Amino acid sequence: MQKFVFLEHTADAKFRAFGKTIEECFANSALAMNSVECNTKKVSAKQKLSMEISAPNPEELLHKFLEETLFQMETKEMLFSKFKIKISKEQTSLKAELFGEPIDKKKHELKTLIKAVTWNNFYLKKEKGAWIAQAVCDT
Amino acid sequence: MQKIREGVYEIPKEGEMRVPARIYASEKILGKIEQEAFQQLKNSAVLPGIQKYAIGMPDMHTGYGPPIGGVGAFEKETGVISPGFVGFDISCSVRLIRTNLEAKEIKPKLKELIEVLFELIPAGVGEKGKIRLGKDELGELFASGAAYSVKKGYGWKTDLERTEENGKMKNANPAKVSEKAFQRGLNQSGTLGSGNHFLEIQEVKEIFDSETAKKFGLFKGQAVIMLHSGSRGAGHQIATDYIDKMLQAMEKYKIKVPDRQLACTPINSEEGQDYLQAMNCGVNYALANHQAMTHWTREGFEKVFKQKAEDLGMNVVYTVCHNIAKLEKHEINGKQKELLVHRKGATRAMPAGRTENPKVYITTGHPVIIPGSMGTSSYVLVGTETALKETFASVCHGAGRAMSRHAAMQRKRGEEVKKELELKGQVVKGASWEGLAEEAPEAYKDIDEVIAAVELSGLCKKISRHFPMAVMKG
Repeated sequence: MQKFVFLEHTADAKFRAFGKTIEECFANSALAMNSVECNTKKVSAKQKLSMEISAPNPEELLHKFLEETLFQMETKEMLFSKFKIKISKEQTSLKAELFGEPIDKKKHELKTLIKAVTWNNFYLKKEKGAWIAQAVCDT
Repeated sequence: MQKIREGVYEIPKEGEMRVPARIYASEKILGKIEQEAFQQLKNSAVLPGIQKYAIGMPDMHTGYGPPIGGVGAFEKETGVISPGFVGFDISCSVRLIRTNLEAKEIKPKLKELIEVLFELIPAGVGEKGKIRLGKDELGELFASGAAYSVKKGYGWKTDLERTEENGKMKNANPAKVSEKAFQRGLNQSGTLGSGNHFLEIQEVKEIFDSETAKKFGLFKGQAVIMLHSGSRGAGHQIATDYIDKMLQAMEKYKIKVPDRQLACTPINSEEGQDYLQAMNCGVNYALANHQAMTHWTREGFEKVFKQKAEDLGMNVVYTVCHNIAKLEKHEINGKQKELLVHRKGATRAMPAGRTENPKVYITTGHPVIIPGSMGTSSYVLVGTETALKETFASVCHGAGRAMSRHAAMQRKRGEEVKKELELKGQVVKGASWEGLAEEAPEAYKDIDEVIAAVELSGLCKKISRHFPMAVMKG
């Protein structure tokens, strides 16, 4: 299964991420977001960062997870390439471990900063047994 | 869509729209605007309290929530405030700095200048700011904007007179800014950012109105500097926080929006007032950011030309923002009303006489600075009475993208973009190759066409056209 795909959007970075499980879909969404800023293949999973998040529903949980991931990327000045995620049975809370390293201009083939995760055309849904998420990030 | 007059089109009210939508564009440009952008403009017309029209500028293109290049004015007592209608990059602004130098004097030193400026001004992904603030200092900066920077030695007092709101947005309350926004703001003061943010050294190629140009300190053949940047992570986080808050609060106010990115609450609600005070902190962050970068630009020129910035005549011409919501008085049905004018990718253009103009520009109207895409012209305009009457004194903000970043990257590599521009005699340095590829000139609409459309619809008067000699991209 493809991890994510970028879609046409005139100004910003729009992607769709996929997963056999909801956790995989969350992880691929965060990977897609990191790949807007750099070549994630060049980011070693050296350091670990943990987070716990809860929200009223799975879709808002994903949005909050991406917002929190972006906040960590910016304030810790890090990029991430691997994600371990556990989502509660109710799909309203998660525990995540993000793996990555501090930004290295020479190593990571840096691209464009993401300003925020928008709500425009944002969704998370289960279709034919697989999970799909879509997001537009302001760049 | 109906043609109202040359350069003005209207989408009549339909469905949930409270007012019609108006688009200021030439026929040629109209054909290039995406259907999704028109839909986003129609969505904006649904918001409570919107006055007259939801307005699209000729550089309009698909954004999130409203289109980029959108204007909406809301009645203070009954209308809403929408952080998505301001955008994440609160107070993304353009500053123009003049010099006494002629372009020909500067040309042999362009490469050296750009190298020096790159050293002095942090730009691009992961580039740390040089100004490290404590939380208290950041609070002071949020409250007092460029005035804080000048107090700390970044720039001149006269810079403030030539900045919107004299460099300090009032009603800015740091207590309404979240801990997260503080954290994102701590290390990014005085950084350019990435994407379409830039510093350009330009040559004034044409003067259209010599009398006004003279008052702005501009002359043909002159070297000037244009700076495009915003409120960085602090502003992005303020917007993020308040969009999330308003999404939760909308039900309480029985507001429904067609796109969650248009989340809003009444201007007079607690959430609305809190956002306004926090947004103003974002504006002040952006103003301080420009001030620090202006200081380093002057330092760079002093180093290369071995002359004082004062002697080089490096005064700020003006600083004007294109992502903001501002309380302004406008005429509605023959009565002056206080409105909250949202400009998302649109520039304020107050004509002569309006008190929002700084004293130095009261007789001309303030300079409206419109940056082009990399490798193309930029313009200085002034707003007209028509703009005041029809668009709440607003015009376009740039060329507007015509191609996605992804498509631009597939089309040309950053190295090719640089080479092509260098063949045209421009010096180009970017923080990343991908960034340069994304910002290739052909990814944007033709700025000359956009400006012609604004002029055709009577919203502005052209003062000068500038062309880049050297570009520093974040």
